[in-house]
Amino acid sequence: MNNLKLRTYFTSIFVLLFILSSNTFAQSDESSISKSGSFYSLFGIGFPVETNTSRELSMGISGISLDNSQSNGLHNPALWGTNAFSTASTGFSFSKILSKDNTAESKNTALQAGYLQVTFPIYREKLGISASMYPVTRSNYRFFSTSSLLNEQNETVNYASDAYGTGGINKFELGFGWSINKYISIGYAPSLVFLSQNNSRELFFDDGSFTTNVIDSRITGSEFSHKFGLLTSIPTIFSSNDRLSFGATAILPVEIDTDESILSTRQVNNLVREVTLDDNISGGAKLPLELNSGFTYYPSNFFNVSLEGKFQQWGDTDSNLNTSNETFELSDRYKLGLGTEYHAYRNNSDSFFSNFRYNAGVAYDSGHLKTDQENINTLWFSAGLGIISPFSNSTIDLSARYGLRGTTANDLIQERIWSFNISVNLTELMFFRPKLN
Amino acid sequence: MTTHNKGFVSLYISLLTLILVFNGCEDPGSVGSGFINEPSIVTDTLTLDSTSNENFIGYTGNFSLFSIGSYSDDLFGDIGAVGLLKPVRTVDLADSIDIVGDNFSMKLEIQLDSLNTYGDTLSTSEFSIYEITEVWRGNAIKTDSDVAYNTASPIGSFTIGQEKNIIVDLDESWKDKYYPYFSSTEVDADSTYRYEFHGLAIVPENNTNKISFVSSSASQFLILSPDETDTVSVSLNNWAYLLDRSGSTSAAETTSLHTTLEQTMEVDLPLQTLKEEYSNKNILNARLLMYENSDGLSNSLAANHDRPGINLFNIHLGTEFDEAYEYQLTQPEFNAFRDSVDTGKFYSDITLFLNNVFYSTEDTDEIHVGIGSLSGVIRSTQLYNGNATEDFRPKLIISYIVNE
Repeated sequence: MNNLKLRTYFTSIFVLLFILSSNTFAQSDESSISKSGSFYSLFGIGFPVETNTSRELSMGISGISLDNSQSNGLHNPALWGTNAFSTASTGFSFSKILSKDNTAESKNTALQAGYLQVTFPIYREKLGISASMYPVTRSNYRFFSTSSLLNEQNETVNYASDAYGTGGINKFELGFGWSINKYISIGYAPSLVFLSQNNSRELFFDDGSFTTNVIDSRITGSEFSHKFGLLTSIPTIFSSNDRLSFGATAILPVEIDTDESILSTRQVNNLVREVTLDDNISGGAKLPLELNSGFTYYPSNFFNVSLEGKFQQWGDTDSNLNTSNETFELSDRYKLGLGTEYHAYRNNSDSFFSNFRYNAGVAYDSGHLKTDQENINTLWFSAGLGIISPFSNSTIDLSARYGLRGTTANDLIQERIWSFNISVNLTELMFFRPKLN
Repeated sequence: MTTHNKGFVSLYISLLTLILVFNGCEDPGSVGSGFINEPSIVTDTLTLDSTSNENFIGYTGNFSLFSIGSYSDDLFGDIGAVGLLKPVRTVDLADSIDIVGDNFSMKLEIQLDSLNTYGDTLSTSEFSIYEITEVWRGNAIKTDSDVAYNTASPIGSFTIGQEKNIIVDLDESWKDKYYPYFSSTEVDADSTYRYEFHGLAIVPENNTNKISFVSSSASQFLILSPDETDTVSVSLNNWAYLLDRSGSTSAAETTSLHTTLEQTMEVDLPLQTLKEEYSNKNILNARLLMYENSDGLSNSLAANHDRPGINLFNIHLGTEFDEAYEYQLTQPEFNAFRDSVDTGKFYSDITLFLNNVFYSTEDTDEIHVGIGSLSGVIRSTQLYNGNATEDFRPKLIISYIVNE
């Protein structure tokens, strides 16, 4: 019992500190620190976000075939039908992005909440529902530069520019999964997709006749989305205790009608306030068709390996938002991930290192942007650790990923990304036991 | 602590350290800035055709300076300024001073402003001092005021050449009139003094060709002992000047502006057009540009003649109260400043005014341009108005940001 108390104590402190750290950054000024991420999130409706548990991220996969009745997953509704426990989970990520082009380097950091999901088994391992909220795209770029322009008297005016983007597309999703039999499960999850994106720029001039100029472009819109999932489980393939699970999902494309407002900060009646320069600028944005499929092979109770792929038809989407750029265009995105898990905690060993679940993976992401010459692809290497409660099925998963994105060729930008994620998955012990069964 | 718990503690400490290490401040840098649209400034210049002249009656009393003299200005007319002044009643005579009863004499010390002279700076001006014969009050004296004085009995006279400090002997008869008041201990002495003793008028003689400006704080009456070894200073209680201007000429394309508000310029703004075309623009600033009739001003001055300079105008948005008081004596909403390079231009940043028009309820479509003054120095200039040629009409210059 002492062990439990100590672990719970330290776990609570750790999670609390992590959240406090997150809040600290959230309360800081929007344009100051730790709010920015990838340069490539400048374009369109932001950069696609990998919203996964740390366990999935550390394996480089989406988790659609990761059949586990003791924990939840966001991406395959069919998995929710196999749930044995009520669960609640959330995740945070901290990313450090080191960018460079042929002339300069920059360092951005982004600390942000990832997702929130609760699942309930209506009929244990038969029918389950899920409610979740998670980001789909994120715009979190930030550039600081200096330059000059000419005023009406053709005099040079130097200025510093701080441009940054926040927000993106989020989903509020309600869905269910149904385990038709022990081999096949299906699921459906409609969701409300809502876009809330800010693109801002502050200009600071060295000419006293020009005050600091702040301009914000706020884009909003919402639409419904539909996701379908399939999970099949095939036991005893090569041995008596192995099994193979196959998962697939399809998310239908969504067209979002957007409203854009241009706002600025002005001194009006001796008070500095936000004013609307232009309102209700109509536009449109599109989320593409997304297909996922993959399988996970479980040769034993201690080990499993997954191979999953993702296709997003970004090439068929376009947006008439003012965040488009002539250099880049959207292109179909392919992602392939290969990962493995070792469940050391199932050894019943007294060794400290037998308290965990170990994960590792690698993923290749072709990216959703391209230029004439280059695809903005990303190669990810990842590893992770799962801390399993010995008294419940609750887990804390940690992952560390290193990614290489883009290139400095053709005057483009290369990003080296360090990303650390933590997800907390609370099951019946810290939540509540299903009573319907 | 068990080995397991030690292991967990180590794990947590390691992870927290990792978070702290990576939680460094960011350094966004310029990487990628080449892919966002560069801002540029677009400047629109709107010509303001609709102007009109306004006339007010300005105040001339109790400023830090008051004018005395006369000058015939080719551009701004024949100007005469009669100074009015009155000593305070209460005089503190220390026991050590050798003055008993009315056994003293009085003088007037005049300290002139060392910076400004209006007119022929090399000329000598002549003045006579007369006793004022009616009640007057400095704060109430305006450009149309008239205060009577007795020219039959001069109290003193003096000339102003290049010196800035003049001491004038005052006639004993006037001293005798003053003495009962400053020595009075009656309870109504102040009231009696206010209504019965009227002070002096400094009147320029006909051959005077310049206007000088008297410092009200440095000028004073002097009470002297019979042997003039002891002197007591008596400061001014009220002061003002009477202005008489005639023959001012102003062409149709120019508007004369005076610190005494005899003429100001009203500029009408096309508010509706401005709202429609610029309320949705990312405005950096909006400046009002006015052109001074520099050539006319300089060509109308003979050699060695001078006018007190003007480097800023007052811009008011109108008032429901006493316009002369508001435009002359209160803080303007904006100032227009002389351009340091192109000195014939005056700029006023009216961005805040347009902000109020665009994003609040401000609906004033006329602005009043004048030369307010708290100094008492007579200053005048000429601006080109809406009747001038296109190049010299007032302009509204709006600069805004666009992304290329």
